[in-house]
Amino acid sequence: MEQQPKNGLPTSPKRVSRASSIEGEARCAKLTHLMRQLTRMQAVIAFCHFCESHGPRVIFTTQPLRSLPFGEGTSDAPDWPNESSLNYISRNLPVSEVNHPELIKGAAKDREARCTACTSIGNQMAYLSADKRTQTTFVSSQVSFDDGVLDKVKYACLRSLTIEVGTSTEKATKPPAKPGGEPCSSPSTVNTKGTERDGNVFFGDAQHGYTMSLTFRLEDSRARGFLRLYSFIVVSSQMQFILNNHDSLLGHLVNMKNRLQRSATRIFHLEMDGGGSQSDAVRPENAPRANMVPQGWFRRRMNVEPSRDLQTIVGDENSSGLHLLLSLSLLSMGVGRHLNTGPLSSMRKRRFDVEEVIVPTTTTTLGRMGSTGNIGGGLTTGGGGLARQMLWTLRSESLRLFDGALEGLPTQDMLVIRELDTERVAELSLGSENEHEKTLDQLENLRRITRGLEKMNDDSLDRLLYHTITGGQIVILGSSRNSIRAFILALSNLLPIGCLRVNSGSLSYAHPNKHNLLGLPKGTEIPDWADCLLIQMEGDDMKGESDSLEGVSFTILRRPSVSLPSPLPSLLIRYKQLVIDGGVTENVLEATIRSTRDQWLAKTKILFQLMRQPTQYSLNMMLISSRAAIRDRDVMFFWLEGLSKAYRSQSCPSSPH
Amino acid sequence: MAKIMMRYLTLPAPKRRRTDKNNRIRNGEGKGTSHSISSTHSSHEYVDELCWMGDHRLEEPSMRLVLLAESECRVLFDSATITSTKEGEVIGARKSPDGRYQFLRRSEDTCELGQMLFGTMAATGGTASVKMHTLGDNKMLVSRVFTMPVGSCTRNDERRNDQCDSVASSCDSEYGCPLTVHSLDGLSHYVKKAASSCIPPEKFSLTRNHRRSRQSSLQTSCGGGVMDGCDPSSSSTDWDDLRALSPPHRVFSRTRRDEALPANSLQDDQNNLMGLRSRFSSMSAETEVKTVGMGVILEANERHFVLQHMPLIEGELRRLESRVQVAAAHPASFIHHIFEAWHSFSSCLCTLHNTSRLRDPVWIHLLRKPRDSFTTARFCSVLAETSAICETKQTKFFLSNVVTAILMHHMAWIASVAPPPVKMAVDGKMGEMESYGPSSLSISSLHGVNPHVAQLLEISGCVGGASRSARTVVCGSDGALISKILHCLSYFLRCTSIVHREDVTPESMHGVQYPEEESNLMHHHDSSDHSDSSIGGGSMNGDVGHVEVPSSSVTTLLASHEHQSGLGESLLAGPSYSYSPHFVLSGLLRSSESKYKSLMMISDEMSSYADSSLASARQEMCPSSPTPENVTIVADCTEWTVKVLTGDMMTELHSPSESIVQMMETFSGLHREGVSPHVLTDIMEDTLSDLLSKSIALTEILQLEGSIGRLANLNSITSERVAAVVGCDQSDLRLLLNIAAVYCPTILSSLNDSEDDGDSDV
Repeated sequence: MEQQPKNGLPTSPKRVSRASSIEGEARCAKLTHLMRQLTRMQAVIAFCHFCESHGPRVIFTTQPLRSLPFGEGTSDAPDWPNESSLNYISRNLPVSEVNHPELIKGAAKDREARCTACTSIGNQMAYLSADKRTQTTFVSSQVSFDDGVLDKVKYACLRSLTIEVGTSTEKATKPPAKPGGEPCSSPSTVNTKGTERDGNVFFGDAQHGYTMSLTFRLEDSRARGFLRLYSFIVVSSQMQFILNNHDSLLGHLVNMKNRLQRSATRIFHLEMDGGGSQSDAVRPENAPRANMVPQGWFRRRMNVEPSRDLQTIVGDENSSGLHLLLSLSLLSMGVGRHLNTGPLSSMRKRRFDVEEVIVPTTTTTLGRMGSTGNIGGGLTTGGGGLARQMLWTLRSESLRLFDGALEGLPTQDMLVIRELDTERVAELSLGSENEHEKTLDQLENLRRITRGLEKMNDDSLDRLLYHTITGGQIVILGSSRNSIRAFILALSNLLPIGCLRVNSGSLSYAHPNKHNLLGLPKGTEIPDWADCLLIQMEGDDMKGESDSLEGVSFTILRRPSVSLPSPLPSLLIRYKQLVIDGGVTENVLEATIRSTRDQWLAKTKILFQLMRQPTQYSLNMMLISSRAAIRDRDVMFFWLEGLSKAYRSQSCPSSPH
Repeated sequence: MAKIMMRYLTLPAPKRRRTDKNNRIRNGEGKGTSHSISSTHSSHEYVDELCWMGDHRLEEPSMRLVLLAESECRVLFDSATITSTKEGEVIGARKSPDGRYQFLRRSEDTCELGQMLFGTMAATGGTASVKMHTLGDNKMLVSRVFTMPVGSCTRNDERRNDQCDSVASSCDSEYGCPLTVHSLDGLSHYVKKAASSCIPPEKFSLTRNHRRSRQSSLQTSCGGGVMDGCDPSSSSTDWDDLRALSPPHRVFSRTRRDEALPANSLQDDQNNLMGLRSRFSSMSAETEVKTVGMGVILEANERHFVLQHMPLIEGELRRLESRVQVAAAHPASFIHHIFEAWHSFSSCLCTLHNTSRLRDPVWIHLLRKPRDSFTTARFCSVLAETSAICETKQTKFFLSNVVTAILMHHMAWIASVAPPPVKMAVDGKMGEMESYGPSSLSISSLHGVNPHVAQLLEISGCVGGASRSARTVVCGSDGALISKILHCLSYFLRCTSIVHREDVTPESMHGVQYPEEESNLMHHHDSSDHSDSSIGGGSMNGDVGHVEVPSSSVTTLLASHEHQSGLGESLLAGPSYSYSPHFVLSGLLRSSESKYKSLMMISDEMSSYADSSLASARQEMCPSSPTPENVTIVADCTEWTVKVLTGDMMTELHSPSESIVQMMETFSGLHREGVSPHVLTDIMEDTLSDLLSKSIALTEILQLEGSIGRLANLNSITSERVAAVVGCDQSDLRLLLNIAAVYCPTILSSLNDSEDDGDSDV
């Protein structure tokens, strides 16, 4: 599945000869357009803040990477521990080991002025999460290290925080009248004006990408107006990606937003109460305005502090801020894996193959949040709720959709190969790397054989073809083992694999039931009762290791007692036409013989099914229904052996009722 | 056995049917036509069983169009307040000069809508963008902001001035709507059609004051909102309030606005003057653009529909936009033009929404549930029935003919019959596989590809080298027959199936905390107080533990996505009286006398479609691919013809591929004998697979021709010779060529380079 279409599409099809297949080519039909998209940005999630000092800033970005550093070539990837990854969260890794040039470069990307309020993990830190199953790495950093992504995210951030007017997510889903009595009711009266335009909006165009934005405010006692403005944005170059996941993505973002707001509100109250024991008396002159400001407001000394960081605002004893960041990375993990790829069975067995790593982008600086232990600790011990919950919800989200790809069934030959033991597979020279070339060589030999027999001007060629395709025994005598094998493999192209009972290196004669294509050393005694087509090769003793039958001549020593039917089977006529046609090249011969073989095997399947019907049909009727005729009877009956056991056992005799 | 087959037809429909009472063809989709459906009445059960319809219909009146110019509140059009007098006159409402339309009081939400459309700051770039908002009152807003070159209302024509004045004078400053209709007058310069009919006074006015025009341009792009706004004073009061109590979010935007406006002091001081100028001065406006916001308001219960069909809706919005541009060039009939455009937009959406869809399209359904006996059996009996009607000499083997056409143009089936790599078999890497029947479900190992996008591309045939966008319409007067044919075709029209895995097992959640509190992701209906739990410790404060996940929450999570099927799947429609070019497969009902009209209709729609919607969406997704060729197959089951429309060409497919005819014949014969449906489909798969391998042989032959050049014996290659070597009937060659072109695009050109006696004329 992973092959790249070369220059769009292959012009010279190369295929594995036997049992299939069109492999590359037809598969390209699906792949060509899909592969184009792999290089394109899928989705990025960012957390943005409108800094009171610096304006709109992207403060955390998470994006999937498909190639680095634990991507496709898993063999080069560091050896991650295999134990349950969720409990294995933190691992410090020098950047040199990570070998992530983009990441190192990325540290220099962000040239915007920042204060603590608009800084998350700084430019020296990144989070990596490797998901082995999808071979995707998620990188979280303050800003994206990819220029294209950075531009789009910045643009979306600007629009999200300063331009677009969102609509409340609650409005749509909640009855408008809130039951009173919530502890945060007084601040929310303050909020009303500020937040009425906050909320969700989807916007975008082809040039800048598409964005789903959720704008919200966190209460902060030191902020102007007691509120700070933040937003989550999901940016993708594909409109459909966001829209198809719209409601669930929004749900997750709203969830995170709610958590942050609750935490912030709690801290806000703690700070406003300043210990909380004093009564909140309002001076008479302020009474009219009392309900417009939060409790405690009049006591508080107004002390606006523009650069308070997120952890302070939401309170960091449960590390929500940090969790948020990790949640984001996990969230995007879900996003990146909306296309699930693992087989269902293996999925059930596995648990999350996700490795969390926190990587300082330089080995010396850990950034202002140098306490990586806290982050890891926060996840592994207390307070990991948000992160894990996000992981779960998004994971289930991502597992929900997958791509039922178009792919044909395995052919009968393939099923048969699977049922063969390895010895026979080797004997038939199947599954080798250059099988197509080998097949072409075999067909060249087939040509040599058929021309040799045709020259005899008798029915030798018809005999050979007839016995081959109807399962009569053909015994070949020769002096070179290679030539004997080459002879047998050449003929084997005329039959389904299931019809091949081949032994090219026998030392004594064997019954036709055991081998229909049998090779013996010259001079081996053949019993008189053996009703076989006995062919002797001359001149093959000089061939040595060569597989070519060039210059070899053939003598028919014995013909079977049965006479050739008249008319001859259609398949015989067809094969004969192909092999003696000088205008047909080996490539054409290969394609036509294969298609002819498959066609007749398909007819055999119909015969097989009709034979299994409860109704007894006349042979003639069955053959006609199979698009064959009475003259094809022997071929068809022999070819029933070409059907795999799997096919025969799975077939049900009649309709399911 | 045949009787057993028949029993399927009388079984109740599958459980998924939720909308029995709605499941019948409704006539006059979208356009209110009044065709009778008597011909289908007797056979409703087929329509019911094979097609389904949503719970509710989208009606044109439930949608609303708002066109706002320059600022939040200059209404160019609002379908809620500008109505046709035909639909009933409102006393006291002003009327358009021709009396056909009336202007009601401006809607109260206009300002709010304007803010959503434009944001708080004038759009920065010239790029058109699409937006979606959820509105509070169970509505949603899909909008598009675009720019038009504009000169403000030029007073070039006394007659129009009169109108303008009369409208303006009778209109409070608060309701700017009719007035602003004329603010687009100047557009006529920039619309090609209008150029020829350019009236001298306009030219005259063009040469005037450049400086003014600059000021005016600043005004139009930035200041207009406040100036022409619904209520400047109240809006600025809002701003002030915000400034006091909220972070500088909106304040900043204001600041930015001012920064972006070097002449802002001028603007502040001279609001009125500027306003006058904007309206009454004329200018050289080549460099000037006007931002127009176009919003369509729909009921929130169309949400899923909108999300799912957004690429199509966006395409329709683009069409609407271009019609707005044209309308703006004809100020006198602006309202009328917009009315027409809006009607065509909304009826298109209605058709898209209200048309019945194929219930369980066969192929997609079988991909999802490979061993679904019911679906397979039903398909086989429907196919057998259909072929009894349409696969006769009298009908010119109509069914085979359509299937041939489908296989020639909707090419995604090719991948479905290409076997997996043999190496997998040899290496024993294949898992449990189906060994017969239609393709088993194998899971793609491609990462990062949106399955919805893939499906969309595939279903319209945009695969491989044959980059085309194909759709098929079956038309006729017998709804039941059309349904059956469509059902059958849905087996051959293939695409990736989007599988909704709903069996994620709780075992995989072991050790993952999943607080019940958060289980209801979207809808916090519970009125319990979340703050309590978080303050008091609750789930956030670290009971990391191994909280058992309530199974109900998982169910909730999954149930909410039950109906999220791909857009691709939604493009397989049932019979309808209206035609939408968005559908990949659809049926067109018509009364017998209007058959030529329907072909015209399809052809028209096709040409207008070429520059819109899916085509552009596709371009967006695969920018490197050439613009796909648009192909529409029109199968007429009253005349038994199959026509292929490509661009402005129409070719009739006179005879089917012999392979397909044989396949149908074999199928019917075996079906009569009661052969299992699984086996029957397997036989059809073999035929398709045979076509593929024959096309490979054909490729080899023709490539030989191309590569070696004109060797004597190949120079005279004829279609007889090719057919003989390939081992097929000559009638198959066209189909085989089209198949080959998918994985070997050069083959068609190499064929054209060589002699024409080959296959193109078969």
